[in-house]
Amino acid sequence: MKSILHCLSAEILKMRRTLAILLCAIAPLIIGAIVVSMYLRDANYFMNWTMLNPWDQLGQMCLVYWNLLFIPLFIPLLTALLAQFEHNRHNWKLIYTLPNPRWSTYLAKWLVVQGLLFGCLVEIFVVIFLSGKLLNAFNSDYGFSAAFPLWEFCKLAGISFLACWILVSLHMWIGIRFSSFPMALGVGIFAMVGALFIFGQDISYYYPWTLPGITIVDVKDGILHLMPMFIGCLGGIVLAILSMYDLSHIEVYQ
Amino acid sequence: MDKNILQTFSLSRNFGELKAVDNLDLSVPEGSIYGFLGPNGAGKTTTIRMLLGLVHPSNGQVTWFGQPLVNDPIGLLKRVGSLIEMPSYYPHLTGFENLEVIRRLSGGKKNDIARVLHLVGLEQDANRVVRQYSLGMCQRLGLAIALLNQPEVLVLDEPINSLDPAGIHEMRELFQHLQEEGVTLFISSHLLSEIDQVATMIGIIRKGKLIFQGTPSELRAQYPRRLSIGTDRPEDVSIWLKGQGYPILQMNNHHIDIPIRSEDESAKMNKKLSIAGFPIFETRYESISLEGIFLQVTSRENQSGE
Repeated sequence: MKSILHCLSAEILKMRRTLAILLCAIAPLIIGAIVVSMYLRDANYFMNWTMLNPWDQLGQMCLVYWNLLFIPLFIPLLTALLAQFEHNRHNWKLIYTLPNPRWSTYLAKWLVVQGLLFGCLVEIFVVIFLSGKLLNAFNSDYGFSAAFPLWEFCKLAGISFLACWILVSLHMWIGIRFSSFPMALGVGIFAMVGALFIFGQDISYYYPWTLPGITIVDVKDGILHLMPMFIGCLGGIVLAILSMYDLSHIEVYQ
Repeated sequence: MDKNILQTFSLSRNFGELKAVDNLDLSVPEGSIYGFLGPNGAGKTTTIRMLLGLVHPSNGQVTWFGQPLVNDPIGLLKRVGSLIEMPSYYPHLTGFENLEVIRRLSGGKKNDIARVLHLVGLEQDANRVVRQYSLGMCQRLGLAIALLNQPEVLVLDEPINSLDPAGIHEMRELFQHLQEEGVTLFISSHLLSEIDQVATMIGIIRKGKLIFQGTPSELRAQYPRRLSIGTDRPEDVSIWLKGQGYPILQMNNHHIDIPIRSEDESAKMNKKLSIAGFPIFETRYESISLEGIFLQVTSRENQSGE
């Protein structure tokens, strides 16, 4: 336990002045900008939308963009960036001679990525709220004067967050196991393209890169779809354990 | 001799058919500065990686402080600092932050950072990001990282790479200071003249095999003298000498050094060179440097291997 805390605190310090932090700060803002611009462009369409509460509509749009389009690329990018801290200067030969079990480095990086993703979700909530208020200031017919359904969004974001675990575990392993940044990112891009074709088919429930998106898109009549969450979450734990086992036994030549 | 702080027993590592390290029996006495020498590709770095548990031996065993490394790698390596090849660091962090990362990882004391910064002379630059450091400063930072947890043993692979002459001098003084404080140093280097000045024990490895292990004086006793020949035609003379079966220890614009056994052999060589008609303006019969011995040892092994 002590070694995990040591590694986690070191990983947090390593994040200073990094692109990863900047990306996490910017990505939710980009989603907000896209959604607000859509609302302003198609104002009549969104003002007359009656199938969902305006907040639910805005929130779901943001979370769909986040989980369907951003997450499958964002996680490979984040994990590859974190792993590159060590690959760039061949730091594994130092890290693995320090008095910590090897698996604790993987786990610490895994936790940091989860923390960053969680932070992004919190920022997305803020972006949704501010976007609604901004649109309301432009035109009150958008209907954002109603109460902000924070709890509903928390549930929705929570299950999509858990569904991401499998991606974090897999891409963290790829990022650490292979020193090439283009390769680590390339796997993510290739898988993302695959996700676009697979999405909507039955197989998409077993394809890690579509799971976070399914949790948001498949919400029907307010009933949350929990199966992709369980697959993503449990698959993520199993993959993390396998990754830690593998990384504890590799030889370090770099 | 003193008790051995590090030992290997028949340590071997194969890569397919290649025996990178072949039945290595190292003995590093406590409190010594052990110079681990060998030409490029001799197996030095693979050996060091096995000593630190980064690479698994195909056969044999490593013991630290009398205990097998495999039994408690975390507990044993906690007492060892290392710097392998190029130093490891995080270029986007300051020197201080780099040390803080390692301190957090190893659970060390916060005031150790100031101590090691002072030891390697990086106090003034501690708050600059490391990507602005020179190569020499990075090397010092790598050494500071290795020293952070007050290790009992330091394993250094080419530690004086990238340092200027003043830096090399400071580093040499630091090694001696550390030894005086009771730290055992295991230094692999191709800068043999530097090892020569600090080492109290020497191991020479070639093609994965340990071909000598002992004190510098024991090594010198085996290779006592050399003849330095001054000539304006060093190329021609060296070809002739090789034809006579003499390995060239060192050659520059006007001097060639060869190993020589006795004063009698030296006199004979003088005569032979005159008869061969070479313009010789000087011959000097002198002690051989460690570098010269190293070249001689490795070339002898080369010849016996061929």
